[in-house]
Amino acid sequence: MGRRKDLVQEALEAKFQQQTRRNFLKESFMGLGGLALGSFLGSCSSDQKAASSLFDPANPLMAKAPHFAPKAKSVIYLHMAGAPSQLELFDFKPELHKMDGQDCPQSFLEGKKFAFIRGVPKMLGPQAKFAQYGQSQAWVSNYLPHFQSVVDEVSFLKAVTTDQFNHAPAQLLMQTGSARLGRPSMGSWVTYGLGTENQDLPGFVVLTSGGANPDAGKSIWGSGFLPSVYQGVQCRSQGDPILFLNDPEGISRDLRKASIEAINKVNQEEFKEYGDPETLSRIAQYEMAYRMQISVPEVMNINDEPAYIHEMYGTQPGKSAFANNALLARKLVEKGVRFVQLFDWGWDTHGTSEGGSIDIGLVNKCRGSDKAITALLLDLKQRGLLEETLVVWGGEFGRTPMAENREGKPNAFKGRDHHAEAFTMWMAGGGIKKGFTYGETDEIGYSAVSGKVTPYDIQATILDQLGFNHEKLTYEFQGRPFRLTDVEGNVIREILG
Amino acid sequence: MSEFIGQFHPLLVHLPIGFLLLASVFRFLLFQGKEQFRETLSIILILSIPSTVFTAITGYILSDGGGYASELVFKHQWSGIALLSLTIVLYVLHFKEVRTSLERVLWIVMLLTLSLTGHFGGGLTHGENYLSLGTDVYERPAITDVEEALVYQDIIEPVLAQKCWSCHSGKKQKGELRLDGKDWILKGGESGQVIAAHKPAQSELYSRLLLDKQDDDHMPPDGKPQPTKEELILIQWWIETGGSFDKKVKDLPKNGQVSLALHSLQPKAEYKRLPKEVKVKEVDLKAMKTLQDFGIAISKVGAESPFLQVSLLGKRLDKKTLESLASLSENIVWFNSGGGSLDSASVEVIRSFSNITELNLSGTTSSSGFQWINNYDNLVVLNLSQTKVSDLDLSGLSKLKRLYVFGSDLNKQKLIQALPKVQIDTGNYVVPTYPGDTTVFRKEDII
Ligand code: HEC
Repeated sequence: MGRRKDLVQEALEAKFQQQTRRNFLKESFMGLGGLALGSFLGSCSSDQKAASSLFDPANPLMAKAPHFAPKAKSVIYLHMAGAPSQLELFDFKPELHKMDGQDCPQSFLEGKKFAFIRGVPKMLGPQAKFAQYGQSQAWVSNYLPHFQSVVDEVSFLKAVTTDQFNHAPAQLLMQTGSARLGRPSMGSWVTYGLGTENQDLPGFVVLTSGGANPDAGKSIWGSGFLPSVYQGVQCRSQGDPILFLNDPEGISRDLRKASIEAINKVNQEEFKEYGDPETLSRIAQYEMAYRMQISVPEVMNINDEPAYIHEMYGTQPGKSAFANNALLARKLVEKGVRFVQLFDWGWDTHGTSEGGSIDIGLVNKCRGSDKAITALLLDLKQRGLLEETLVVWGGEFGRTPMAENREGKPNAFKGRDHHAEAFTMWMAGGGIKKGFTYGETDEIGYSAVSGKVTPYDIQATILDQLGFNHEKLTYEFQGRPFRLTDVEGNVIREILG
Repeated sequence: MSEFIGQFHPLLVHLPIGFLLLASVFRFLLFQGKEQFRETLSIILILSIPSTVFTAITGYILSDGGGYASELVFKHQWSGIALLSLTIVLYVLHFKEVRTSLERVLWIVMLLTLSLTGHFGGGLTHGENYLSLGTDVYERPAITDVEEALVYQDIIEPVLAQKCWSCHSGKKQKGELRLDGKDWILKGGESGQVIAAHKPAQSELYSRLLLDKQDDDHMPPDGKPQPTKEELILIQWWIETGGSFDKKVKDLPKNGQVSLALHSLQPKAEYKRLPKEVKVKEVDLKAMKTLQDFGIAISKVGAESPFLQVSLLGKRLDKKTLESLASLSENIVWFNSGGGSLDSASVEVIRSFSNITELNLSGTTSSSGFQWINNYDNLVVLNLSQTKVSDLDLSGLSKLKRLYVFGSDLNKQKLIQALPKVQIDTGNYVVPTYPGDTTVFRKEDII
């Protein structure tokens, strides 16, 4: 008790220190001026006000209604960080095979910039063998022997294009709608708009595998200017699921509870004084953290899943494997988590090393995820969850039809450079058409010839399936409303079921 | 013996073709006034008559053995006979030195007949579209009602087309086997018939599919797209029931496994997630707040909608929350119990949801059983996966479109028979473990 009093005292002192003359002037100016300005603008911005009020500081994660009745209620986004080669997985180009080893025609090089290719590179034929599968007769390579069996569940986007050819900005663009740092990620926008069902778990969970975080760092699941309660919470499938969530040694759960109550009381006082909504969301976060101490280890424990499920996914208990994360993603969505983001690192196959080659390393990346992704789709399906869960797969860009020649010299292994003009992604479940392919690239897979879509279009489509008009899901910041898709984005209606 | 002779037809045909073309060339030279070739033409014409006759005989013997598309055989045969007659007439005219314009026209008719006969013959050995260069895409027949579908044409042929035709059709005849038509299939391949009616195990068309993938005789060869579990069941069923080419699904007996496989072909009915044209009262916000404070996820399905979605998250409701839930019973359209157990008081409230369209009771137990479900007018999606329910009459759910029963104790075959129009997902999907799933691919493995 005594300690709590001390804390309150301390907070009060801090407050008095801030109540300076300058502070007073600022407050009253902003207060009065703001009031007047508000009534000027109020008449024409009722829309934005409504949008901004999506944030209820006392209950920031409560489940909310979207704009219209949704198809999907949650999202599992599988981001293959580093950019998998579409030419070895889905975009079958027999013509490229014929050109294998020839000099790249000048027309493909003029006016183009590549991350590493210099001079005139050689064309590189597909390294994988392709065949058509399912009733939809979708092309899939022998690198993905399991995925072949589920092509009738997915819509392929064969002509995705981006304007960034370096990993970090391209990942940011894909996940936050801007190649520069500072924007909220897709998962943050979604939890801001929809809240989440289960108040004992984070609404936006991030799971990583492959041994490293994505190049863009943690800001690709950051909340940007949205209240921080909407940022992605990184969970681990090995060790403590969430870092720093456990009670410190010697602190009992009761003591923890008492201290959180004390902190929250201080924060409440602070809020009364300054009215900063960020304070309220801090209170909510403390409370959530306290609840999560029990519920997160429970849901993050895959050991209680039956053996046949482990076999289906090909999990490796105790390791931080992609397969474990895929199984976790299903469990989290089942338990009412809104947005689960998987990042799997290691798809950057330049051909500078064996692990980074498209004929060896890429095969192993596929082996590490093919079975688990197939299992994830089928497991969601048999539980009736696929209808209401949107699954998205893709990298941040594609790879060149040319072999990479770093510094003008051929690389030690077979590899491809970054390629922004055309690559493949797929979506499944959550109201997306089953067994469909949209978009086409030219004969060698260099650029889109039809059905071209951008990261903004993909973001708009994801929001649409969740029940949002992407142009109306906005947040007021620095005097103007912001949205995930900025000033772009068209819903890809062609792939909607 | 006759089969042996018949074999020579495709070889022999080239003889008369050669002679007749050559004869035409010399006839043209005569026309140009090169009279020195008169005798040569006589010899060529004399040679072409017996070679044409002999070719026709072997052709007849070959077609008698059966196995060729009968309509094409008919055309090929009669154009062949016409060709023979024309050749004889031309020989006689040449012998009698008749050189009228009619005679010249007859030469042209002969050439036309020759190419037509050759074309029909080509169609017989290489498939009817052997001239078209492009990849003729097989158009899969659309099934609207499985019971009415033709077993061969709508179910078996699409499998053969997708998984076998690349090697066993007009394009290629591996093992001298074609599978792109009734007559071909019945004819068999180099080692004889591939179908033994009613005996799938003795039918190579089926038994080869079951062999170990590493086995040289396994079809389709390892690395090519393989038939699915359902497709195998259906091919077996087709042969077992006599391998008919014209029967409908409803005409043939089927066991539970076959019904399940057939069910997977039933097209998926579309459905609306919200009830149509019902007027409901405004959402009682106070009741909603009570439930939210209790930790239940409840929200409108859309900002302007009077309908609600509710996720109980496995929470057990007390009296007060049950009352709130009851006051929203008209508004609730999507309800998810989230596991946990339902007592009779909760069941009473849940069964009063008059407009509910989607009910998810996955992993839930209920002290009142589940028979009360059979009572919703608008329900389109019902999820009973992972429930311990074993017997249920759902015939009262007239709008039901999707049913999930994975991991429940329900008898799936009985359900499918009772609810033929409902898409039933019985789950239990298996993702096999391939050697590659647990091993590292190395440089040495590149082939
Ligand atoms: C990639 C090419 C390929 C595909 C696809 C293929 N086969 Fe074959 N098939 C062969 C070859 C080569 C042979 C001959 C060698 C042998 O007898 O094993 C053969 C032989 C056969 C034979 C034996 C014929 C005989 O009389 O000796 C049968 C029966 C057969 N295939 C059935 C099928 C069926 C049914 C399918 C589709 C499900 C299929 N095959 C798909 C290549 C193929």
